[in-house]
Amino acid sequence: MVAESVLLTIGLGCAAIAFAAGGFGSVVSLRARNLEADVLAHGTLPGLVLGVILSYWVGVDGTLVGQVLAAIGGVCTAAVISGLLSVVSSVAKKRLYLESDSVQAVMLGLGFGLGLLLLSWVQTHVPAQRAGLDRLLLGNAALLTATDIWVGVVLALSLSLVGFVFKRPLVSFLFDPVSWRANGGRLWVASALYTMCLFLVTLIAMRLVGAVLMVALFSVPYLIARPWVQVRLTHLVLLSASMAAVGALLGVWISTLALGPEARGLPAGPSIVLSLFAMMLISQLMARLWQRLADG
Amino acid sequence: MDSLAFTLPLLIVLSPLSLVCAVTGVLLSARRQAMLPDALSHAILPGVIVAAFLQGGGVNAFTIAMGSVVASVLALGIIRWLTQWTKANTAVALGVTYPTMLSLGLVLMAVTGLDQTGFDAHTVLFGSLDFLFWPEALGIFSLRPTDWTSAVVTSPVGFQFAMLAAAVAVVGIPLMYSGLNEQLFDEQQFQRRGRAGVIMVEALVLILVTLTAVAAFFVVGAVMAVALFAAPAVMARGFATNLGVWLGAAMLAAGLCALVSFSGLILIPEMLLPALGLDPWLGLQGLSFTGTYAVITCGLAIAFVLWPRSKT
Repeated sequence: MVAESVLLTIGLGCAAIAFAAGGFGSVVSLRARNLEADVLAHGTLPGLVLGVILSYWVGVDGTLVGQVLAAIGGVCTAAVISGLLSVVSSVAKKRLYLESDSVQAVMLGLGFGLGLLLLSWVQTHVPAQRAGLDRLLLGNAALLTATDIWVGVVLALSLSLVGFVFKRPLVSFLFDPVSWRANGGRLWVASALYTMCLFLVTLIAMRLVGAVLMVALFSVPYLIARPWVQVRLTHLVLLSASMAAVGALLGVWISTLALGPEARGLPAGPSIVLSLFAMMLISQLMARLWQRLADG
Repeated sequence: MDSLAFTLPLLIVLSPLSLVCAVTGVLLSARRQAMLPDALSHAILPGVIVAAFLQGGGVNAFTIAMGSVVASVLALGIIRWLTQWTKANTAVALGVTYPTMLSLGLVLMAVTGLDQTGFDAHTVLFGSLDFLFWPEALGIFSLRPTDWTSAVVTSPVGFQFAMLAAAVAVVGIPLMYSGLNEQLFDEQQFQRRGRAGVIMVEALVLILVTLTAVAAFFVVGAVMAVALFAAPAVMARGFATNLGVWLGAAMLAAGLCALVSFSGLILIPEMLLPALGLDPWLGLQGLSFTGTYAVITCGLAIAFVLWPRSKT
């Protein structure tokens, strides 16, 4: 099996990444923007594949530069897809009286379809990239590098700092944007911050659980924390962030146990999601019991 | 003509699927549940895996069917529990349910060792339309009616489910048309139908969604399924004056898109370009059929929304 120190580093990295994603995810869940985040995560696929093609042409595939190129490509297409999503949703609502869910579904199909098209082209023209791309879709915590882990830790710390400094705009952005604007506040600060954080967190969390499962890191920790927090946003964010970190550690630990045929272990991303879901069940049931007891 | 034996099944499987998906997509999009098939098509994976494991890795249509239906009912139950019990909003409920069920499927796949056989993450996410092998499909038009049953039994699972869903839609939607119409446009009148009437309409939509989601999972994969549902509905929305027109226009749009992508990918490179003396593929061979179809339908849907029109 893996050496203890390696396991410790991976665990630390996973916990930091999940902390950032869980905390930010509670903000996303409060706004009910989980499916937009999902569309965004799926929309990175064509850009990632384009980055792989580009790095193959330039001749830097397999190096750090190639990875950076793929990441930049992913951010670009995700930005295009999510920008289109907001434009098309507002136009569709105005002209066709269509709610945004239909448009989300269409953008999801467009992003993933483009990705699949490029992927099928890559498979006939660029040799041996499939394993790397599968990793982007479903994640692989065991392959987290030292760079990923440091990026995760820095991200978690800086998100906490941003949340601390910009608490007031964020709270009003979430709960009462109109009054904040009426009092002379600048809404675009919070909205720009939100979008930037969304991109950063998505990109990093994708390396942990992959583009397809990413939305779970946003939604499940929020539901774990929600029944225990009544008033304070800070408490909600911190609680769901730490629950996400605990769940990620638990999932990674389960995935390294010698389970499955020939003791190959389980895939890490899915185990993280499943342990988070189990924690959510326990938390919700306990909250119900607690409520019963308190009511007498 | 030789390659037609491989490419015709694509059209035969995709056309009924896209039509029935378009119909379901219209109903869902009017109920603001367009993302529901996305959740369901991800969620049936554990059912498929358990069913395949119970029969030793084989793919028997009936067992798979039972497994997928059980899994999607479970997913619907989780979504309902989350929205009712924990008071989560729909976006959060869907965002919890589909990754969880997909993860359960992937973990089961690793535990049972099925990922070493036919299944892998790629088939799950991208479907198997591009690898569809159904040699009997070419002769389907020359069959005598007595042979049709055997032809259906040997057909791909996705095709069987699409036909089943089509049968449900053809019988159910005309029967309950007024109920569906009322639910979309006059909720109060709809509630006056009484409990049985409401449940019947809800059940029709849920059965349709489940069957089509299973079919779409096997044909185009877990992620792309949602495009089959939503894109034709969005395209047809601009022409819809009532539910019937919306349904018809969506079916027309879906059929046209299937034909366009089929001819763009198969007929033009195979028939037209060689006749003109050009390189048949222009260096583009091996493109994914599913990907082309998704990009064409979704791109057209976006174009229909954004197309500038006069203000009337």
